[in-house]
This record gives sequence, C-alpha cells and structure tokens, in this order.
Amino acid sequence: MAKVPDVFEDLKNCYSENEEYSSDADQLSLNQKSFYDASYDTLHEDHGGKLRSLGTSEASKMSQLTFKESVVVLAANGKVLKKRRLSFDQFITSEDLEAIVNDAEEEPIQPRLAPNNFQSSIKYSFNKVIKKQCTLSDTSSQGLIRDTSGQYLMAAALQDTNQAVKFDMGAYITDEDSLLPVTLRISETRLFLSAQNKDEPVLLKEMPETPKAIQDETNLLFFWESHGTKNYFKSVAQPKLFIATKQDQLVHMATGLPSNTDFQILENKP
Amino acid sequence: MFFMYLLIVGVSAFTIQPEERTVASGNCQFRGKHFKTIFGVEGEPAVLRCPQVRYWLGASASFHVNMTWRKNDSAGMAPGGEETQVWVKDGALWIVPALQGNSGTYICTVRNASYCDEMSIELRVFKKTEASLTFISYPQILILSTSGSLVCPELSEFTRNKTDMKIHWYKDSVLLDQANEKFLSVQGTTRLLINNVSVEDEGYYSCVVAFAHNGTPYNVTRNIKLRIDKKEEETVPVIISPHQTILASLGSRLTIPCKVFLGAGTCSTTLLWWMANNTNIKSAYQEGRVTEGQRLEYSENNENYIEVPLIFNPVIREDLNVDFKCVVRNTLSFQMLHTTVKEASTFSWEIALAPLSLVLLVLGGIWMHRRYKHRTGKTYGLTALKTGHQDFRFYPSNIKEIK
Repeated sequence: MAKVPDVFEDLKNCYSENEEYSSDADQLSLNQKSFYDASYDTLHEDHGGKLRSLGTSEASKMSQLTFKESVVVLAANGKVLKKRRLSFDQFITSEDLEAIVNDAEEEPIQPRLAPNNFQSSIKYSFNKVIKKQCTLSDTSSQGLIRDTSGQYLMAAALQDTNQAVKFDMGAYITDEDSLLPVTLRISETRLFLSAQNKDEPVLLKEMPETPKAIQDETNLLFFWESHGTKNYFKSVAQPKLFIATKQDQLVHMATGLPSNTDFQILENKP
Repeated sequence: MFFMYLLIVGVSAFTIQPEERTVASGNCQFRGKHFKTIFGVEGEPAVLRCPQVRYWLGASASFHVNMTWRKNDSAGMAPGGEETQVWVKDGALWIVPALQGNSGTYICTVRNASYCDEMSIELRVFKKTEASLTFISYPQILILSTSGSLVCPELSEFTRNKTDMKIHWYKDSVLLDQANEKFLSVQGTTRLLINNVSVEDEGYYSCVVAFAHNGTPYNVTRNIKLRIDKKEEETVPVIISPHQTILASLGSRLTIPCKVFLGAGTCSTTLLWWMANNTNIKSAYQEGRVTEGQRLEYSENNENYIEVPLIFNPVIREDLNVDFKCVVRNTLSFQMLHTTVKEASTFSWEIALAPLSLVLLVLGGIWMHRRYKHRTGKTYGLTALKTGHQDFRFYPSNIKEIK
C-alpha cells in the first residue's frame, strides 16, 4: 500500500502574514483575520461522524486510513479546496488524494455555522423555565444586587441573602445542536439581563413578556455552561464574552480574568 | 418659526435655572436609604463607603465631585483628620475604633457644579458576643464532597497595598492549625480552602486581619456562617420510547409519547421536545394540527421520568414522509431519537380471517353443544337405573314392617 503523501507540505510555508498555521493536536488551526472575520472553526469539530477534517500531521503519520465518512481538504487560509465521499472501509491511496485535489468539479463545503455577524437567522424558541428564584454568587461569595440607579447589577458581600436578586432562568431550544441558551429574568419583574460589549455593564432590559421566540435580540440570550459547581453564562450575541464580576465594578461582560466569570447557582431554599 | 424658537429657548432656560439654584442652595435630591446595613464590632475599625459612587468606574477624584458625610442626628458633623476617631479618606468614612455610640444613619452627599444627590446608609455596632454572631455573619455556601473556599469579605480597605497580609482563621472560636490538611489558608489572599467538604464543616468561621492606625494595632474581624448544600444531581438522560416506526390509520387521532429516563437526576433542568424535519413543531405546524402535549414529570421506584407526547389531530398522508425526532438535553448531554409514522395496512389477515373464525366458532359451538347433550342423556339413564334398583332393594323391608 502506498504511503499517504502529506498534501499540506507545500502549503505550510505559503500562509501570509495575517494567517496562522498550527498542526498542534493533529488539527489545522485557521485564523483568518479578514474584514468579515469569517470563522471556519466549526469545520474542525467531529459532528457525530458527519464531517471529518484531515489534519496535516494526521495525514503524514498514518499510512493506512479507513474513512467511513467525508474527507475535507483545506488550504492554510481556511478555504475548503475539495470534499470527497469515500465508501466504507476504503483505503486512501496517493491516487485518491491526487484526484481529490485535481478534480475541479466538486463543490466546496459551506461552513456549518455562519460567522457571528450573520447568525441572527437562528431562531431560539422558548421551552420552559428551568430554575425559579435562584441566586447567583461569584467566586468571592458575593451575591448580585441592583445598583442604586436600578439599571444595572453589582456584586456585594451580603449578610442577608434575601437582599440578593433572584432570577428565573428560561431555557430556549434551537434547530442547532448548540449549547443550552437561557434568559435570566429578575423574578417577579419584566427585567431581563442583556449583554453589552466588552467591559460594558450588563443592562436590565424591560420586556413586555418572556419572548416566545428570539431571533434578533440575542443580547438577551446566554449559553449556560455547567462544570461541577461552576456555572458560566456566555453571550449568544458575542460568544467570546461572559457575564462577569469584578471588585468595585458593575456586573459586566468580560472574556475572563481579571474578571470573575464563574458563578454558583443557589437554589431557593425555604 | 421664530416664535417657536424663542419658546423652546425660553423653556430650556427655565428648566436649567432652578436646578442650578437647587445645587447652590444645597437642596440635594435624596435617593433613599442604601439597602445594606453595615455591621461592626465594638473596638474594631468600621468603614462606610459612599453608596452612590461605590460602583463608578475609576477613582472618585476623576469625577471632580465633592463628597461630604454627616450623621442624621447631628447635621453639622464634620469628620476631622486621620488623628481623630472619625475621618474621610477617598470618599469613605472611617471610624476607628467603632463604638456602640457610633451606631446610626449616615448621609453621604455628592455634588459637583451641576449635580447633587444624597443617600443614607446605616451603621450598627455590636458588642463582641455570641448573640451578635447571627446579625454580623456573612452566609457562604459550599457543596458537599467537593473542595471549596471561604472568602473573608469586605477587607479591601484594610488589605490595599499590603503584600504581607496575614489572615487568621477560626472555626467556632478555635484557631485553625496551619498543619491541618483539611483547611488551608492561602497566603496573600483572603481565602480558606476546605478539602472534601463534609456536613461537619458547617458552622461559624471567623477571619481576623491585623490593622494598625497611628501606631495602634486593631483587629478586623469578619464572621462567616457556612452552609453545606448537596449538589442537585444531574444524570445523562436516556430516551426509552418511541419506537422507530409508529403505525397509524390516516384520518385518525394519534399520540406518540416520548419518554425519558433520568434515574436519580433532576427533571427541572432537562429539556424535552419534538422536531419535525429538524424544525420546531410550533413552526412546522403553525395551524396546530400536530402539537406537543403537556409535559409530564413523574417518579417510579425513586427513579425520575419525563414524558412529552406528540399529538396528531388527525394523521394525514404528508406525515408519512416526515422525520420526527424526540430531543432531550440537559447540561450534561444532548440526545435524539428518530421516529416515522407508517400507514397501518388496510388489508390485514386478521380482518380477512375474522368472518371465517366466526363461522368456525359457531360450528364448534354447535358440535360442542350436541356432544354435551349426548353425554347428559347417558348420565340420566344411569341415574334412573340406580334409583330403580334402590327402590327395589328397600321394597321387601317395607313389607316386613307392615307385617
């Protein structure tokens, strides 16, 4: 059986200044800082066997590959060159790879998700309230309270937990197999947490009712991630930003340290 | 047009002037009492921060504001310099040491050239007794069987610019030994790490930091009431129904239940819904012919289940080409189960054989009846013979008796 040639060998040295190449962890890391900041990250996930990207070191290390799904060939700038469907347990030969690269008729694969700027087409439908009257406390055991203006939230060490703002967490569902999108509403009010830009305070936005569907106002949605006792709320509108607290600052949006982005969810206990 | 312009200018001038007069005359807008009461311990320093400016970003100086403090019961209270008991530093009111007589309501006034507001905050100074613990403690919560940390709260004024900060931790008034593997005071931070949290770790903790003012040492004590909670268990949900194909007659009502097994896991954070061709049911069937039924949560043998039915009212031919899927998700996993509706075949052997089986049943019944009748006749004959024999047998004795 012929050894699989490294189809990326010639491409390794061809990337321009605004592109980064990395074959670390058997994966092609593509960071194209273009005007549209197009994101191809989703191509590198293994979506339940639907799609598999062929990494550089992976291709060169393995002489025999049996693929049960699609093979994707990518240029270093993230452009999808070719895709080819292979039959079950078919060995890839050098001829196959050559044919894939030279076949001009095959269409490129589109990214599974649009870049962040264009994701408003995703519709989030309300499912149910998953937590009622819960409180959030940060890593410094500070509860969240409303500031003196009533427009924002702030973290404070409390001697009376009843002073902490209580939240109802509403869960939404989407056609995408994404994380768990939720809204955070101050219990018994119409005020919803709304994400802003980096380092800007989180707003309390008044809504007439819990939105049955959210398409454009994704500022109200946060992907809830739970890791043990730590909980994170990542903005759906700006997925690099999390709800965060910091000493003597309003609750704001941050990427991480020095702000605290993890919270403990405390259930309402009688 | 000119008249309108004059009117607008006149009105705007009128609205600005009274505001300037208000600021000048000291009639500030009172914004109420701050939600938080500051609890202090007698003999220790107490710091009140101006509630309005506490969360302004940056130092108060950059806002060119003038901050003044007064106690509600003494309008003319003007804090002195740092050599006195009460003074103002960076907009915060320092009382060193705090005494019970210092308890009361304090008002902070913030003003600049065009703006003025006031807010009050309450200070309560307690004697250092067990009874006061419940008032002055900060509740903190840790989760059972995890490792977590307690945080000594509200020390920023006393620990600022201090690299040699040392905090002593006590549990139920007993100093926690540094050699103790259970508790670890993290040097240079305000944290106490607790390994493998157990129910026994509940109780009152105190953290004490040393603070010197004008050569006089003071202790700053914070009390924490630790509560141990059990983590709400979450499990990977398992879809146990429906089957891959569901038989249905066109035009009939159909309910397909999607049943999910959660074990000991919580139902509250588990979402369960149906989709048709990767679309939400509400969006796919806006006319409401196909709907999701009421979500049902129940337990059997201490194991939790959730059920959401998909209701067709009625089933039509288009439904046979739709890929229905039941989807379940929680923070741990996302799963789905596909199902399709198939038309129940109109010709079935059961229906065809029904009349035949009925005929056979009738014939069998007649045959059984006849046979039963035949047997009954034989039995009757034997009985009669026996009876006759008995009569005959006892007859002579009767005669004898007559004799």
